[in-house]
Amino acid sequence: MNISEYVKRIIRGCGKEADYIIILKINRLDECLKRIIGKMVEKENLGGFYIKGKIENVEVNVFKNGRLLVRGISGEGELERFLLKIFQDKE
Amino acid sequence: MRINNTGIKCFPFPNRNGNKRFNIVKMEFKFEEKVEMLDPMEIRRDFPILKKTINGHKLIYFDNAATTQKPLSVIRVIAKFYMEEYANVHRGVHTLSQIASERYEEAREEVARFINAEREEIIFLRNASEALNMIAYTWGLRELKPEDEILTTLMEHHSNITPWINLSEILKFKIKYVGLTENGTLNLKELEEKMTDKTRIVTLTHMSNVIGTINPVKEIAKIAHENNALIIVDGAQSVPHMPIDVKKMDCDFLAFSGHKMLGPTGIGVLYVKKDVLEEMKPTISGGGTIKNVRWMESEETCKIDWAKIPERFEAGTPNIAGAIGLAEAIRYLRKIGMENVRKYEEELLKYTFKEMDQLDKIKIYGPRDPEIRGGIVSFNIGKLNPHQTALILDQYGIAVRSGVHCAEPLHQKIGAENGSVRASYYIYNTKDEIERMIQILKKIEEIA
Ligand SMILES: Cc1ncc(COP(=O)(O)O)c(C=O)c1O
Repeated sequence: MNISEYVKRIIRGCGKEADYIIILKINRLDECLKRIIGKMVEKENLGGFYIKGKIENVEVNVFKNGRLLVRGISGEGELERFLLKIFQDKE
Repeated sequence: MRINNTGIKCFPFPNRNGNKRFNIVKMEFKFEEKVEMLDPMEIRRDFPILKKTINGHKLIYFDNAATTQKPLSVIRVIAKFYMEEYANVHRGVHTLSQIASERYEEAREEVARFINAEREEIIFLRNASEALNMIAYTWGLRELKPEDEILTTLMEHHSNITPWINLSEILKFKIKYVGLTENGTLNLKELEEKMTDKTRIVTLTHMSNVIGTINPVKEIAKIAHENNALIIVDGAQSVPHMPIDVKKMDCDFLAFSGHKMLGPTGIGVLYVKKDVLEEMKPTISGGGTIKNVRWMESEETCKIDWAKIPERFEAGTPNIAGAIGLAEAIRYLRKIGMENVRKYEEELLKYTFKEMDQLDKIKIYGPRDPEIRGGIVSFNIGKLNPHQTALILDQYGIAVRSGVHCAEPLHQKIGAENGSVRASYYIYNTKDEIERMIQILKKIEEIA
């Protein structure tokens, strides 16, 4: 499996902290969001704007229009492994 | 001119079909100064993209410091060029090439007029970044020696920092950085203190792309020239938003991008004062930049006779359609009047400050005086990461930018190391759109 099945684009947000914005593919969106939210712990719905939580201690923010903001990951390689794990693992 | 019963005077403004319509509104208030305002609702009709819906909401485009939208007249002129006038420029003898060359050179004249320069002083390049690099790798490469110094600021876009750092690694000259005052203006005292008889160049932005600060470039040019230094002005954010007169400003170089002023992407401008440009040799050369290249039998080498300016600096086939599109964008702006553009954006800025000041958790960066600030508002809300705020706004169709906006040292200086959210305005933005953004920011505050 390749993350490109689910991910359309990855943007590295500039700034001191390593933030990644992930644009998910629209055709797999529902399945994708379900998987991600299903795996999150310490979930919070923030004002109906987005859901914030953690997966394996990594902060993930899920926006309903198919954007993820993943924070505190050290590089592209680690991000790819992280995403692969989310999409591959059975719930 | 038409006067309606509200006392508002409307000046006819030719639309894209050449018909008169009423676009610029002059409001007269008794005992008050006359204010001339452009009418954004009329202007919006020329921008098809503004009718678009994003994520189920009407698009509110507040990312104008990154790039601006294009009016129909610009889109049409480019299409017409490709459909009816396209050929390569310059040395072609056939008629179509003559037409294309004329259109390209007319575009150069239009740009020159817009900033009160001479046509020979205008070089077409891809964008402001390329123009700034071009200065470094043409003038800088030949002129700067290890004992020299250059002055820049901590307010710069990376495009006006990295070429100089790169070049200084090769040529070993020193770069000095001028800081900011508490309220986000350039520290002029520090600038004067850092200026020495070794300073060869002062290179700075006219308007900060983060905090909107408008730097007093005329005053700085005077200081630079008194010290025998040249001045480079990065006009990427100022040229699209205010009247620019290179003669009054007395800058030696000015760089700007077409896409930030209603023009197409891939076309930018480098203005260089004639007597400076005459002395320069190109770094990127080849087709078009030379008069001739002659084989010297006796010396067993080729001798270059450079072309006259500005062709000397435009190697290869230029972005012809881009230049023509930019000229049309300039015509559009000139009809509105750059004074009116500036005044209108000041109004939007005042309104933004007034409304944002009602929010408790917002931090706005940069000067609060609209007279020395362009229509750029960078901010953060509470503890929210700028991308979180931008992604929320995107869900409501509001396009803002988040991050460090290619100005990382400045973000360090203003205490926003992880970036900011930036709303930047142009002639088609309205107070209603700002109001809409503020409403959402108010809700965001509850979670910040
Ligand atoms: C102040 C400033 N200088 C230079 C640039 C670079 O412009 P471009 O990307 O068109 O080369 C920008 C772009 O945002 C800018 O804001």
